Amino acid sequence: MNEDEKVQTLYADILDSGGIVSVIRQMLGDCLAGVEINGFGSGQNYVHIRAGQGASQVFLSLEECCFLFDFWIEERKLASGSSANLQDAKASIARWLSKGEDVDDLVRTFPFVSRK
Amino acid sequence: MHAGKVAVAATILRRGGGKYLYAHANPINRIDPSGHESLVSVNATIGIMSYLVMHEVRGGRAALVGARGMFGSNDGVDSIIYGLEVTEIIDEKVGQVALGTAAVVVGYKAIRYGIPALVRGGLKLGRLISQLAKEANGGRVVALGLDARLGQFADTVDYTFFTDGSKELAKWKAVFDRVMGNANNRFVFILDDVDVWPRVQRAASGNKPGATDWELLMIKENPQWRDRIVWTLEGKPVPNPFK
Repeated sequence: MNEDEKVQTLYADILDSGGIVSVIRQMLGDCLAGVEINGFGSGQNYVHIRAGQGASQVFLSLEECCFLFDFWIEERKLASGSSANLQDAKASIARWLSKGEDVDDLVRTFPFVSRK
Repeated sequence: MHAGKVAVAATILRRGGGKYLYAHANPINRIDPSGHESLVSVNATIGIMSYLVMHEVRGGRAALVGARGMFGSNDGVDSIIYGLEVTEIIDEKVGQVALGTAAVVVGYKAIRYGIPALVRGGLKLGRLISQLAKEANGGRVVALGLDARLGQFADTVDYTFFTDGSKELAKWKAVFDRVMGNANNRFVFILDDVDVWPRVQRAASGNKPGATDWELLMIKENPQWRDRIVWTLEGKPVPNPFK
């Protein structure tokens, strides 16, 4: 099974919704002021989210249905997380970007997030 | 990794006997302070050394001699991987100092600290490298990513990593173009600690891009390369971020 087939198999719902960029825009666009959501090409496999000095990325695992995401301030990665539920990524990223980028708060609130 | 820190050629020597033969067997204390980014070639076909000497790498024989001298053991070096620039680097180092002295390797980065995710992913990465080596069909498997992560990656897959300390992006671009231009070569791009979108934007704007920034931009703009590249993050394969 090639890469595209794996993505199609593992993330059919994401692809049906237009790819990870489109889905994250739908999830975060309305709840975060000043957020920039970007990706490459068709936006299928990767998304970058930035608000102020904070930023996050979301990748898709090819081993299983699992979203890999991270948390940055000014180009420094401070934490990362993973979950099979995209809502977990959305909730943690929204908190990261809206609550002042507090790593302690993030790790305390979300058990699937760990400090770098 | 900060913008403006750029890479030059690097190579990996197959490690023998389970002993760290670089940095005078003292990799923890002898760390390259420059922290630059780089490329690592992590595998080669059997006999690549003689191939390099005969067909491709000027000074390859000297590099072999130099590498053996540097690492203090013939048995510890069973393949020299990568290209002309590396051999030039080795030659240069060998020319500067006596073989086998600590000074040879002080400037090289040789991180052996384990990163849990990479350790967990080590077996998978090793298999991945083996698979890519088969696909390479005489080409090489080359790892791309940030310097520190490449060192850890090399350690994980049982290769020794070292890199030159200079920072010539123009030279690096030439190396990269040549390596990418070989259709047999296969690539692993290690995305750990890589913020892809900002790096590509930085490279596209010409705002002091580092080597990794530039590599990402080139890969983005050359979709014909994509089937030869696999991407990993924390030891897990991930799909091409540019699709």
